[in-house]
Amino acid sequence: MMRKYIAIAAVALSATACVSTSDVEKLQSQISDLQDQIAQLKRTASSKEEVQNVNTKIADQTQQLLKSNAQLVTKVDSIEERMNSTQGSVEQTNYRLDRMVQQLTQAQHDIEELKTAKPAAAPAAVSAAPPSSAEVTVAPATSGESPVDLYQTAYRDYQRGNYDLAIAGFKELVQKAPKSDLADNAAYWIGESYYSQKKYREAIAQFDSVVTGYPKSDKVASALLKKGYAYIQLGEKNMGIVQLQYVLHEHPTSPEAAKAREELKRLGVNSK
Amino acid sequence: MRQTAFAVLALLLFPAVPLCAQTQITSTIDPTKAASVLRIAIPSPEMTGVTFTDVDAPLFKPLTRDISESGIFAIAPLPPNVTITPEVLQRINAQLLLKLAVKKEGEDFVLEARLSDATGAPQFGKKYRGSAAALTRIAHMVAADLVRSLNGKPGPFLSQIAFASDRDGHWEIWLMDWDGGNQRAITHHGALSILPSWSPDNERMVYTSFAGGTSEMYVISRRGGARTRISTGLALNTSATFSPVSNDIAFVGSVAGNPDIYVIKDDGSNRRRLTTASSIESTPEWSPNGRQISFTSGRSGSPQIYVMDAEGTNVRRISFDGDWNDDATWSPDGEQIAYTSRVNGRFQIRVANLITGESRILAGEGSNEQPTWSPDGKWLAFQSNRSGKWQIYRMRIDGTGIEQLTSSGENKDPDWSKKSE
Repeated sequence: MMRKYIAIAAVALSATACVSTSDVEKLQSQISDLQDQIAQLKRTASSKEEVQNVNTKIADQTQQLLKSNAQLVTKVDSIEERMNSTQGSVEQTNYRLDRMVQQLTQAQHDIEELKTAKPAAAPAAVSAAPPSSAEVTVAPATSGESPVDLYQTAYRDYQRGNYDLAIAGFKELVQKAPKSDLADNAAYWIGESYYSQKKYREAIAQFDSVVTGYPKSDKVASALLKKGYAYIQLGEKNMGIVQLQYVLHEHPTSPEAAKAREELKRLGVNSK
Repeated sequence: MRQTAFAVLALLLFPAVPLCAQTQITSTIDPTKAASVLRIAIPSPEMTGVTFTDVDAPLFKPLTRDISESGIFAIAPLPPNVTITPEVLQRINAQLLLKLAVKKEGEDFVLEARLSDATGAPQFGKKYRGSAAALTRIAHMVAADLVRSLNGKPGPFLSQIAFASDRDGHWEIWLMDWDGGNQRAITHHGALSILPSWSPDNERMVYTSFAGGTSEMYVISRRGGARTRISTGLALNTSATFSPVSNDIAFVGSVAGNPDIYVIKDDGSNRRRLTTASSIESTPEWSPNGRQISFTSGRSGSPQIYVMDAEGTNVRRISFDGDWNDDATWSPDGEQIAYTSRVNGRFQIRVANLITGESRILAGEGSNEQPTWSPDGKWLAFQSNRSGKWQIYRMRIDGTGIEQLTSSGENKDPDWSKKSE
């Protein structure tokens, strides 16, 4: 600002060399301009205090904002903490439930065994019913192995990498005890065993049957996601993308959605 | 120096030479009996051109120790100065007799081992040859062959344990035999180098080092030599572990300070992120079939063990006892997981059965952490500060037979080789 003022003064001085009335008028108007400018300058100078005030105010507000921001962060933290501990108790509950399901399935099996073992005449009554087509072939003569035993044996085979045995075991379970609470898990593990063998077509079909057969299972989101991965493994990128987008659509808040989003990003596809 | 000793050993160890036609590695002993303990008599060795002190510490001590710790044999004590006859063997209730003969051929030692049953019928026989530096290795080979001749599996005697030690002033990666013998440094970074993990073929190790100023993963041969840095493009780069079925490495990487589990090829390509939670995820470990990965996560408020499919899906929590669980590691059959579990404010080793869901606490005094399974699944090595310093210990999976394996400096991060040989 001062630099401009000095420049104008210099112009005024150089103008005194040869003076006319029009020159004087010009000079006067210039001076009045200058006076205006000085007045304005004075005004801005006085508003410096205001600026100071505003600044302090802003600083105060910033402080306050920061404080409330910090409070927000702590709040978010404590919410996250609460969510974590909720997640923890959900996990605990799920675990207990899983155990109880196994016990229940075992108990049901034991009761069935007792029932069929007692009255030897019972099977005759069953066969008296009209034979409903050839589907009565059912599972091979029950070895008496409970669903829990079947599940554990098959899972053991899976862990040891004996995927064919694992698939056979899990299939037997699904066949023998389709209503048992282990059936959806078994169905998922059949898919995962095929996936492990790189038999992606079979895996896709199996993951489908998890979704259609057990729509309320906690394995559905995983099955859908793995189905998408299987297509990508097969080189059928478009089918894979559709599948991953379906995961986002159906289970938007699940961890599987986060995985799907990441995979889509890797494939160069935008997603919400 | 030790590396040259190994190279020499490789040249000198002749292929197994059956001593006579009927002494192949087949056994007439009922294999169902092999599950129970067999009593074996081991008389003083026959020596030609060799003194007992030449071979006692490097050969006989480790051999008899291996045999007595095999879980298959118990050594039947022989009365002194008695000619061995079937009657003597019967009197001490020995079912087997191991005769050893050592002679010197030039610079080499030649050891003949012959196993017979109490009637004198030969069970097994083999000749071993090597330099003085190779004698202990030979001892472990004899033990492995003996056990294999009876149950078809070599036992843990030829396996190795990698670990980190600060005994030379810096934390470096070290190796030792299964019994704590033959401890040698593999890295010489002169900078913090920790957390070694074996490749499935027992040839390489991946570990974390600050050699370049920040924490990075390196791969090195078990024979030492040149190391390769795996460039991940992430921060942290730690807890690396080889897949048992591919050249994938699972590790903990971080972006903007949030550690997650990642997988990357050992050449640094094809990096994939497996976990996406906002909590801290750490210590990944592959299941033996390479299709599952266990890890530690704070998503429930305290660190707990979780298992996911190798694609990062199907996550489920598997630790429910203890308020702090970490360092999960799978048994070779994939059925059990051992981990560090805080019980009454102290860290202990817990072994959990994944099939039945049952778990039990092992070990005792001090803090006991970072378990690792022997390749035969019968032993666990771990680190403990029970002596006031961190040292590596070994115990049977039922918690018995605890033995301290290291004593020089402080020693941590044990990782047992994946293969028995």
